[in-house]
Amino acid sequence: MGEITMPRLSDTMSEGAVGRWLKKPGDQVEVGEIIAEIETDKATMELESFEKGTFQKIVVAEGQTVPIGEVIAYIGDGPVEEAPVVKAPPASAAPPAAPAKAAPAVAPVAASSGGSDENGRVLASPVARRIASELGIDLQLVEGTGPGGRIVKENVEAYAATLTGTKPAPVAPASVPATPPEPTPAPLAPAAPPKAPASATPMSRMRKAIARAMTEAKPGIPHIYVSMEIDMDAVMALREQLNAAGAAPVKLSVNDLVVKAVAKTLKAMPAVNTSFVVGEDGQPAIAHHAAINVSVAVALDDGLIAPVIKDADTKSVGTISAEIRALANNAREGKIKQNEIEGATFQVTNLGMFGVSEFGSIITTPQAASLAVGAVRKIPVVRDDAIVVGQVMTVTLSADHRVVDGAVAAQFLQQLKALLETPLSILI
Amino acid sequence: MPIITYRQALNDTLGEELKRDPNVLLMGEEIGVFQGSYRITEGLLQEYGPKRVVDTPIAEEGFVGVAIGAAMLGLRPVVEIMTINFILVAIDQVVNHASKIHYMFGGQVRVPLVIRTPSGGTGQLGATHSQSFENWFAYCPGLKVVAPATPYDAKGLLRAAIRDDDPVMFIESLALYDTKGDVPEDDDFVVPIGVAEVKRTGTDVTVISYSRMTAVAMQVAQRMANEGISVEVVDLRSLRPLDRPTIIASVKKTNRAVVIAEDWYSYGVTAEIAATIQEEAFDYLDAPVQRVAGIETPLPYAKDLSAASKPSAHSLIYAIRKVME
Repeated sequence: MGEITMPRLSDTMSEGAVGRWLKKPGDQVEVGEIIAEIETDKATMELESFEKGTFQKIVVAEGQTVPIGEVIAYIGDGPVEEAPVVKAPPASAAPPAAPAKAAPAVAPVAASSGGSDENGRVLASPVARRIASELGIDLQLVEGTGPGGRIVKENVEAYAATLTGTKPAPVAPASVPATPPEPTPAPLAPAAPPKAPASATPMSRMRKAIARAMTEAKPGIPHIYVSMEIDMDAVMALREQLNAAGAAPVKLSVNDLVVKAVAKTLKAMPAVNTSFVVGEDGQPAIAHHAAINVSVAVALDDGLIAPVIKDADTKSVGTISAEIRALANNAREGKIKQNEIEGATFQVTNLGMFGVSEFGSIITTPQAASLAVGAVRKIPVVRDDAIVVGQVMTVTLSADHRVVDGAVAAQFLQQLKALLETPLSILI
Repeated sequence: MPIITYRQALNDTLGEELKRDPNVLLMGEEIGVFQGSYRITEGLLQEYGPKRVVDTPIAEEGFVGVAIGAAMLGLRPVVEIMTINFILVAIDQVVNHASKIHYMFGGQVRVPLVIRTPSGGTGQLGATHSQSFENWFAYCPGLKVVAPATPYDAKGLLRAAIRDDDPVMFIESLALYDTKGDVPEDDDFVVPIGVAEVKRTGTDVTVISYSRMTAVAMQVAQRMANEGISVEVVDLRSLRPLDRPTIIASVKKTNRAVVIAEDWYSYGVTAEIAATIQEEAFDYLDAPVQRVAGIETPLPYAKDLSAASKPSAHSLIYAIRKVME
């Protein structure tokens, strides 16, 4: 019988969750047929079968997370050899169901025995739910002894006692709200984060990935920030002309033109299209990237994702515009593929649609810089010694000072400004 | 404290209030010469005379209307309706007049009226003489409704009702008249209207009740204690105003609730209490609130069927076991 294991679907992936099984025991499977959807820290991907045969047994249930290489199912010849079983989640596992929920930092002792209805909703009394939430306990792991397996308060308290070895303090009654722990004084140096109060909610997988990436980047990369105002009159006029003429399949946004301008600027300023790396000799070095891959931050309900426009310098504004839209839609629907969010050499984040005039962004490793784009604002400007109404956009470049100095950052912005103020050159 | 019956507590209180305030008078069928159908007014005609203890014809709408008028002009009538079933012919006087006059006359006059009446089914009195209608009045803004379960509360609430400037429905129970309990001799103690009482503390389940069902709940609580289930009994004492905070505090403590009342199940007192609990204590519940109330039928005359149609210790125990599952 062949083993189907949790695949490594990206370089950063260390574990994955089974989002959905598309085959059930007894189904015939062809080579290349999609058998499951696998969720990594950022994307959901399809798992193809490498073998032909009969799908035998599911080992890892939907929603469970296991390390890469772990057996998740069996495939073989002939009929199903034994009844499908689902093993108890291992210590590192996330709970079944609700894949967006993170596992609590506790060691599960046993899988829930019953206590859920036919739709998989855990049956638990309101007070059991509240206490479980306060103590950070996953109800999937609690055995219910109420009618129909309903989890009641006593079950949650008993479960909590097995975790701590002691009976939990009685839950604050009635009108007295649970007292939050004393706030931890802000540490002077980076230290372990404050202990979670009972009311802390678990992070989604994406939120965790963002937290990890930002923590890695901000103390790890010495950021410098350089801002510049750009006169956008010409870009706005050009955009209006292009859209009025129906030049692109979809209406171009200011951001589409900015991304294209950024790509052209990177082509002219290869020093910014780089990464700080550590060579094989252990010495720091600068990696120069041949490709210009610009990622564009897309806000989601619970976090953000940055799809990548590969070789953006070689693509037309219309192509870039269409790609950004398609990728953003995929991201919002959770359908984005791992290879669509990998390989960026530079990132553009635009908060202009929120009316933000200027801000600074955090660089995503291993990139050397990222551009924060504000709104195009109508403000009084001095032109030919007269005050007129101008359309101005402020951009801020965050640069990794280990590889990009302030002067280089300033030159980058100068070039970008020049391109955007004579925007026909963007179209060439 | 002396131990007296619920009946004696009412009789004492009526006498004391007649003596204390010359504006207090009693009205009702058979309350004077006959001494009261249930002997609640025994001896009072002899002591206070026919101007203070008035025998009325069998005409509830008429004498309730007379009492409302007397109250508007400054007297403090205490009307006895022989059972709550007979108030239906006077309900227009109570709901359309007594409850609304203070409001509709812009506060110029008040109606300091008390209507005392026993409610609920006791003995084989048949379908038309065995009903519980206190929820009909508790439903009506402008009325106050109290329903004491013990001699102590009977005395304290009757005093409070007579001294209150608004119309009060004072709900009694035939089955409670002979029950006994401690009653202080202090002439001025009152039980405030609108305040429930935890009659017995417990940790596992709250039983919410009033009047005769509180007596049932207290017996059941004792019995459940022998089985290791700790029952807390909340006696509402007043149905309007309803003491929601006391109910909620208890349910938040025990996480489980059973509500018991003698009226019919649908649209009854138990529905109001259960709704209150889910609104205000949802996150504290460990099981759905159980309701114990009357079977939805005219009360049968046959003894066994009558008993089977009414909430009882048996049905309360069943509900407690269910909520404790």
